[in-house]
Order: sequence, then structure tokens, then C-alpha cells
Amino acid sequence: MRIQATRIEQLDRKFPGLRQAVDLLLDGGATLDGVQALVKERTGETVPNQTLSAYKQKRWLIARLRLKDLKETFQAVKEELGANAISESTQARLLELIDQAMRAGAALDPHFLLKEQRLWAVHTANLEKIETEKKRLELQIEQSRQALKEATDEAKEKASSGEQLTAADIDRIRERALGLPPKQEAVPMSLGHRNFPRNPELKTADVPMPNADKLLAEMSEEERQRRSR
Amino acid sequence: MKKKTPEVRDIERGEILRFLVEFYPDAVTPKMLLYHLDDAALSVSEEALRFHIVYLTQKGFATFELAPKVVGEETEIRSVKVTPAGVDFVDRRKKGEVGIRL
Repeated sequence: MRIQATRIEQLDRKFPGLRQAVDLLLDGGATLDGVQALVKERTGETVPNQTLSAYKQKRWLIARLRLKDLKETFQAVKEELGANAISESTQARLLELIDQAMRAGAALDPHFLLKEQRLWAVHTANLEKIETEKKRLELQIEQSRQALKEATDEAKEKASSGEQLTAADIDRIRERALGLPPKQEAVPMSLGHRNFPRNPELKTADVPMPNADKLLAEMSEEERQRRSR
Repeated sequence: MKKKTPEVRDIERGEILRFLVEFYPDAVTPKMLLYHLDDAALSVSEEALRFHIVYLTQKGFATFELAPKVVGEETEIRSVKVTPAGVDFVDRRKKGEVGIRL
């Protein structure tokens, strides 16, 4: 749609600054007669009040209302967010986003905007948490690497001095560098998990078997003899 | 492209100041100023706008905040706002007038 220029806009092309001067007068609450006098003084042309009124309604007032709307929406969002919570440049960016949305013709629903803003704040907070966790893990990895280096250096020193590396040394390395428990010898099945860790004093015969008598009673004579052999 | 006269540049700066006063004490972004100047049939390039902002700042009529410096790139202006001196100028106060009356 082609927008037809008003007389003030046409004159503004020939006399730069005329539109600005008219707007300033209207901002100050001047009457159309006052505006007419100014235009006459600047251009020498007597513009009828009806033409001036058309400019006032179609251009000046529309711009004023848009600005008013923009400022009110911005203030509402700012109050909701807490003005002190965001920096000046972030506030300016927020104002720009509202302005762009209004220019794009969006039926701006402050509640929708506030919801979006809150979601944005939540995402930012989550991102910060992830970053902190990442830093913590990196630090942990670095500490482990350092401990592993120290433990292996120590083992290397011991080995190069002619000493034998013992299982206890390996356990110490595992524990210091990787935080792992000492390495256990495999537990014989006959001892069962209840005797873990292995007790060297313990013999298979010592392992308690609560159902032994019952089992023996149920066993046939032949089987009993075979087993005793 | 036709070179702008100093008078037109003065008008552009006046329009920038007028827009900043609308949002006093809040700041606006340079992009908003570009849009506003377009609306007022006073379109300027980003470089020209930067020039005007720095000019107004050095005259004491505005202040601006810069984005963190990126090596090899020109520092970006994040936000601009008018100073009380700028408000006085738009209100056409004469030199020496404090803007308060008892």
C-alpha cells in the first residue's frame, strides 16, 4: 500500500527540519494556528488548518501513541522482571525487542512476553549450572591426572631403584589415582559370598551349612558311601 | 549519493536527542535510533549514527555503553541515553538556567 505524503512531509523535503519543528511544537501542546504560523515563517506558504490537522492525526498522533504503547509495555515488563535485576544495556535490548515485535505488527500480549522472558531466564540459569558442573568435572579430571602421575612416578622410582612392586603398591596407585578399592583375589565358589573377603584361616569344612543334616538324611546309602570315599 | 549538508546533520542529531528524551532515564539501542530516523525520513547509515552518538556524547548531551572489545573488530555501541544537559537542550533552556524553578 502506497502511503501518500502529507503536505508537511512534502514541504519538509524542500525545507529540511520543518517536520521536526512541527512535531516539537505539537509535542509542546501548540495549537494548529501556532503550527500554521511556524510553517508560514519557514516556507512562506499558508497551509490550511485542515491539512495541518490531517498531518497531526495521521502522523504525529500515530507516532505518539506508538511511543506511549511501547513505553508502557516496556515499563510493565521491567517491573515484572525487577529493574535492578538486569543491566542497562540488557534493558535497552529488551526495549528494542518489544519495539521490533510491535513494528512487525504482533498483537503484543505482555503475558506471553513475560513468559518468554522467564523461560529465557530459566535457560540462562541452567546454562550457568551446566558450565559450573563442567568446570568442576574438569578440575576433578585434572586432580586425578595429577594423582596418577604422582603415583606412577613413585612406582617408577621404586622399580628403577631395584625394589619389587608389590600388590599393595598397585592397590595404593589404584586408590590414590582412580579412587578404586584395593584389588581382591578371586573368592572360591565353595566359600560363598558371605565369607568375602577371603579369610585365609577359613577352610571349606568350617563354612556353616544349616541344612547339612537334612541333606545327609535324604541322601541314599550308596551316595553317602561314595562321598565319604 | 548526495552529500548531506551540515544543516541536515544537525537535524538528524536533533531527532536523535528528541527520541532519547522520550525514554529518559532509560537507554535505547542504536538499532532503535536507526528505525526512528527512518520513520522521520532522516535515514542515516550505521557509521553516520555512530558519528552522531559520539558527537553528542562529547558535547555532554548523551552517554553510551560499549560492548566488550573483540580483537580486530570495531567496538559496538550497546546502548545510548540522554544526559540532563541533553534534556535541557531539547527543552530549550538557556545557558545558566538550571532547569528548576522555585
